[in-house]
Amino acid sequence: MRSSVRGVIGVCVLDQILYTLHMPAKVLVVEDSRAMREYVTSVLEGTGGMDFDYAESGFHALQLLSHVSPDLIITDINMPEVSGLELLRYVRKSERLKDVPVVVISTDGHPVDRERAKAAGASIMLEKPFDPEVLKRAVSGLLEGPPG
Amino acid sequence: MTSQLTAISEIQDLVEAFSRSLLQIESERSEGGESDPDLVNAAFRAVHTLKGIASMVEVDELVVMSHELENCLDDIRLGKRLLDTASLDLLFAAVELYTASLAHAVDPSRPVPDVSSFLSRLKETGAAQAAPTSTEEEVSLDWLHEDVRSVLTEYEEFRLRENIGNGKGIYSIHVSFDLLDVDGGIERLKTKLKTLGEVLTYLPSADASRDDRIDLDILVGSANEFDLLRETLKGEAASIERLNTGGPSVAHEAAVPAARARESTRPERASAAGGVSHQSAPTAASARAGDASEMTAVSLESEQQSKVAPSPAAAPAPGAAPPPQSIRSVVQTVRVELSRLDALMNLVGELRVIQGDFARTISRAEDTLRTVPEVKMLHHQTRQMARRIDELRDRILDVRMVPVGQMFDTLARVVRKLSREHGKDVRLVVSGEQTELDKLIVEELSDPLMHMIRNAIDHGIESVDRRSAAGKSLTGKITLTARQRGNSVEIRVEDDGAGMDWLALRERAVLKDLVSQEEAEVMTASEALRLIFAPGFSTLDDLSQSSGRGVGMDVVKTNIMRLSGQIDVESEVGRGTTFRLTLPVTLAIIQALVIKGGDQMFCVPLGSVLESLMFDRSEIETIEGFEVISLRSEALPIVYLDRIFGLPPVSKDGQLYVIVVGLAEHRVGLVVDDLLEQKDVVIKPLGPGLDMVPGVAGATEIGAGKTVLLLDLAAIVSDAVRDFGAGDRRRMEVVRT
Repeated sequence: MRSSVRGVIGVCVLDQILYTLHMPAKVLVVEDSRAMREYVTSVLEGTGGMDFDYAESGFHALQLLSHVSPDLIITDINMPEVSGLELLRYVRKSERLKDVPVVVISTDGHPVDRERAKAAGASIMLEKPFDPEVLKRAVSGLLEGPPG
Repeated sequence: MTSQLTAISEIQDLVEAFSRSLLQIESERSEGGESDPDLVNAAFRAVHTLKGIASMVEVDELVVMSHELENCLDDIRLGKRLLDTASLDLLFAAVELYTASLAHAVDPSRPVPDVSSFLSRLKETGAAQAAPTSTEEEVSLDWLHEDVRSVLTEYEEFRLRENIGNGKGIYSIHVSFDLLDVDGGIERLKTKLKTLGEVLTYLPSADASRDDRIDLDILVGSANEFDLLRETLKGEAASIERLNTGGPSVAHEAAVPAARARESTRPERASAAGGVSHQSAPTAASARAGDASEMTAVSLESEQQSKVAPSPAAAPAPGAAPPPQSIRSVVQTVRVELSRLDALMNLVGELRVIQGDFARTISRAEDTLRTVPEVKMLHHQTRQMARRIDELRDRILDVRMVPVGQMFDTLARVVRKLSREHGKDVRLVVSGEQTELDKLIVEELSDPLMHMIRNAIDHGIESVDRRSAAGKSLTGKITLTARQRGNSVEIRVEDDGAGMDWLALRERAVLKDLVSQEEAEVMTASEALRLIFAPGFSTLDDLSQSSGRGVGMDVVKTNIMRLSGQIDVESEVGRGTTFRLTLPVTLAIIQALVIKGGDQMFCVPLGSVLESLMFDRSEIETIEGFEVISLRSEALPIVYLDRIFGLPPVSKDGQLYVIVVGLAEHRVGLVVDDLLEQKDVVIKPLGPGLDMVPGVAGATEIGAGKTVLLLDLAAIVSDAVRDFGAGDRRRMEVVRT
C-alpha cells in the first residue's frame, strides 16, 4: 500500500479509499537540469500511472514537500545550496515523509557523495547515464512497495 | 527520450554559465582579491550538469571532454590543483571548444573540434603543477554532529575544513522562513551572509512544527566577531550558535570542540524563532573548555534559554504568518521557438485588421442608424477590443525580449582572448546589460559587434609601449553600452585607442579607387570616416589574424541595415573611436509610415525615417547628373518612389514630399506623393516567387482588406548611394538575399 493511502484511511469513506488506490502515483523529480527532468519523465511516462511534480532546486523541493506527500522522490545529488544529500536527510527525518522511497541519481566520480547518499537512506542509487529500463524497473518496484 | 533540442539548448546555457563564472574568477584575480570558492564551484557545477545531459543524449565528444574538465575543476575546488593562469587559459579554451562541439552536434557539416589535443593539454598542465600541500587532513570534525557530517557533500566538507584551517569560526544559523517568502527570504539572507563569510551548507530541518514554514540550519564560516553576525542578522528570524572555536573571538582556546544537539533544543528554539538568540562566545567557550565529551544537549539548552534576547526589529512571529497556499508553480519557465511566437504575432495582426474592418463597418452603420443605441454600444465595444488586442500584441512582444547581457558575456570572452593574442592589455566595461532586445536581433547582432570589437583591439587600442609614450593609461578600455531610447535601442562600442585619421582614410580610398581624387578633396571628416563602410575598403591589407577573416566593416553595415538599424562612427586621432548602432527593439512588429507614390500605397519602417519635409521642385539641384537637395548645407541625394517601380508619375505642382531615410550611415531623400498615416504593422514575408522583387521587403495588411508592400529601404538606399557615390548611372538592380 502506498504511503498516500495512509493519510486518508481515517476518513473511512470507501469510495475515497478506492479512488485513492486508483490515483496515479505522485512522483517528485528534483533536478536543476530541465533536460534531465524531461528525460526522466519521458522514460517513466511510458509505464503509466504516474503524475509528476518537478522541483528545480533543493529549496523548491522543500517548498513542495511541505504540502505534497509524493509516493516517490527522484533526486539529483549535486544541486546548489540544499543538495540531494541534505534533502534526503530531511525526508528521512520527517515524520510524514520518512517512508517515501528516494531514488538518487548521480554522475560517475564522487564516490564519497554516493556512499553518503546510501548511508543517508537512498532507496536506490543510479548513475548517469543510466539505462532507462533500470530506472523503470526500480521505480515500479519501489512504488509497489514491500508486501504488506 | 528527451528532445535533443532541449538538451542542446540547456547545454548552451550551461556553457554560458561556465564562461560567466570564468570571467568573474578572472576579474577577481586581476583585482588581486581572494578568489571566491563559490565561483569555482559554479563552474564545476555547470560542467557537471552538462556532462550528465550530454551523456543522456549521447553526444560523446561533449561527454569525454566534460568528464576530464569536471575532474580538473573538482580537483581545483577541492584544493588538489592550483587555478593558475595556464589552467584558466585552458578553461577558457574549453568554452570555445564547447561552442564548436555544439555547432558540430547541431550541424554535422561543421568541423569536428579537436577535443583530444585539448585533453592532452589539460593533462600536461595538471601534471606540471606541484601538488599543493594540504594540511586540511589534520582538521578534525569530530565535534560536528554525525547526523550533519554524514550528509555534507565531499566539497562542503572540504570547504568546512578549509574555513577551520584558516582560523574561521563556524556558526550555525537557524532560520525559519514563511513558506510563501522562502525565495525572497533566502536571497535576502544570502546577501547578508555573503558579507560575513562563506555559506558552507544549508540543512533543512525536518522537525519544524508547522508545515507553512521552512526551517534551515545554515553553516557559515566567518572571521567576524559573533556580535557582528548578530548585528547583521538583526531583523531575521534567526538564531546563531557558534559551533567550533578558533577564529577571532576565542582564538586562544584552539582545540575546544563544541557539540551540536539540534533535536533536544527544539522547544527553546521555537520560542526564540521571533528574535535573535545570542550565545556569548567567550562564555560558552570557557564553559566548555577541556570538556569535549560532556558537551551535551543539556548545557546548550540552558545557555540558549538564558540568553534569549528578543530583538525589537525581529521578523513577525510564525503565528502571524498568512494561511498556507498552494505553491505549485514557484519558478517555472518554458522555452518556445521563435517561429511559434511569430505565428501568434501573425494571428494578432490579423485580429487587429479584422477589428479595424469591424470598427469601420460600425461607424458606417452609425451614420445611418444614429438613433439605435446598440450601434453606439458596438462602437464602444470594438474600441475596448482594440485595446485588448494591442495589449495582447505587447505581451507577445515582451516574450521575445531578452537582455543583451548574454551577448555581452560572449563579447567579454572575445576581448579576453584577443587581447591575449595581441599582447595588449584591454579591459571591457559594459553597462546597460539589462536592456532588452528581440531575441532575433540579439542573435543577428552578435557577429557585427564581435567584429567591431576585434577591430578595436586590432587597430584601435595601441600597444602598451605606444600607450605609455602617449601618456595614456596602460590598460586600453573598450566600453560597450546599451540603452533604450523610445522604440529603439542604442548600442555604443567605444575604444580609447589611436582613433582614425580621416585624411589617411581619404587617401586610402583614392588609392583603392573607391573615390576619385576630386571627390576626395571635397569630402568632410564625417564623410571620410564613413568610407570604412565601403565594400573593399577594410579587408585588403588587414594582415592581423583576427580581422583577416574576410569580413570588413561593409559586412557589419549590411548586417545592421538588414535589421533596419543605423550605424554611425565618430573618431578622433589619439582619443579613440565610437560606433553607435541604433536598432529597432523588435522586427516582428514595426511602426510604419504609410505613403503614396505613383498612386500606390506603400509603407516604410518609421524607425528608418529621420524626418519628412516639403520641398519646392525648384530647390532640386543636379550634381554630376544626380538630383540632390540641400539639407542643412549637405547634399542629400533624392530618389523618386514612382520611378523606382516604374509607376506612372502623378502630376504635381511645385511642392514635393520628401522623407529622409537613414540606414546604416547613409541618408537618402525619398520623393513620395503623399504621407498618409502612421501604423503598427505586422510584416509578412512575400513568399516564394515574390521575394526576389527588388525594393520590396514584405507585405502587410492595413485594414479594409488592403495589402500594401513594405519598401526594402536597405536595397533602395544602398542602390541610390552606390550610384551617387560611384558616379555611375546604373539602373537599380537589387538582388535580395
